[in-house]
Amino acid sequence: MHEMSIVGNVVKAVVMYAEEEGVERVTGVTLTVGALHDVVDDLMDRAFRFLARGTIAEGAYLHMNKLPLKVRCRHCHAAYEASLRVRETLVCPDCGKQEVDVVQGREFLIENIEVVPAHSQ
Amino acid sequence: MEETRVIEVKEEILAENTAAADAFRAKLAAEGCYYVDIMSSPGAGKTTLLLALIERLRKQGQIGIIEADLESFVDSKKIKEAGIPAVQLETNNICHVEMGMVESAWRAFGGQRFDYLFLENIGNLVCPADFDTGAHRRVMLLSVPEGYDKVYKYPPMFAIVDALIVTKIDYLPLNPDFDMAALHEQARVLNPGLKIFEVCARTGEGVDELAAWLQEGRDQMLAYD
Repeated sequence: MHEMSIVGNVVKAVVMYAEEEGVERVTGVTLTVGALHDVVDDLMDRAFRFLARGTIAEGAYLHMNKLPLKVRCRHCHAAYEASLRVRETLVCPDCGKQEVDVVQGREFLIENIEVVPAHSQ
Repeated sequence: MEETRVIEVKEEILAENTAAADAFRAKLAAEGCYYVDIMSSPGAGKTTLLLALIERLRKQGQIGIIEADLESFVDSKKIKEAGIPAVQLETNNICHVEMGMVESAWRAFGGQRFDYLFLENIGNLVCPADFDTGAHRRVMLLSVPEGYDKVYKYPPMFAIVDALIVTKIDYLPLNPDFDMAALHEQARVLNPGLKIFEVCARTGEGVDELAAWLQEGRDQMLAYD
């Protein structure tokens, strides 16, 4: 249940950004979450709705842009997509070896926020 | 329909925690205090291993322990009985340790100086993986009774640690299905530089090697500083 803590950080940063920009309110938040972060979507969503209450982001949607794991073979340098939980997918399709560097999957970002600008009606 | 616009943020979700962790890491390095975060599932033997490490490292310098495990105060009591300063971290049933907790635990030591600081993280192989605790090294334990096939169940944890410590190897004869070679191979797919130790804290097997790796790590930190 670390989702609550993660989302707490998201809400704090979003509110700070929104206040700096002087917007009327935040209508949406988009995160980028690589496969190397274990978060449960539903818990993220519920934590966000709960923690955003009473803030400028109350009622905003939370969208997660999930990035699959991408690795590069240490031997032949082929790059391929893999699943963290399925061993066979980590085997290099070109040379059959299984030693890789992660090229995508560690991302954990607040990508953007969707806002209603201050002066709009 | 209200008109909306999108503001690009592109900020790390845990930027604040990571910045605090980096600052803490640097501060301890400057003091010559080598700080290691120990993670595992509950019951893998963190406290018993710590007690075995204390016996070997106490000759080399001062040791301090931050206890974050949820099981009341049982663990910090055992450590204090060994004569080692320990601070029990109040995590209020949370599932992982964050920098705010580490900093308040550090303050609770009241300015004591250590050569080694260990954090006994909360027994959990999922949540702690995302939160930098400011340690110089992060290690995880996997005990033989748990089974070897855990890499694909908790991949982020296996991917981020500096060392995997296989504990309770005295149970190997009782668990013939435990495929040590497969564990080594699987754990290194996403983490090729992973150090792997096989230990039994009760008999002391393998603990000297682990203690030597920690001493070496501290020496390197001091040389680098």
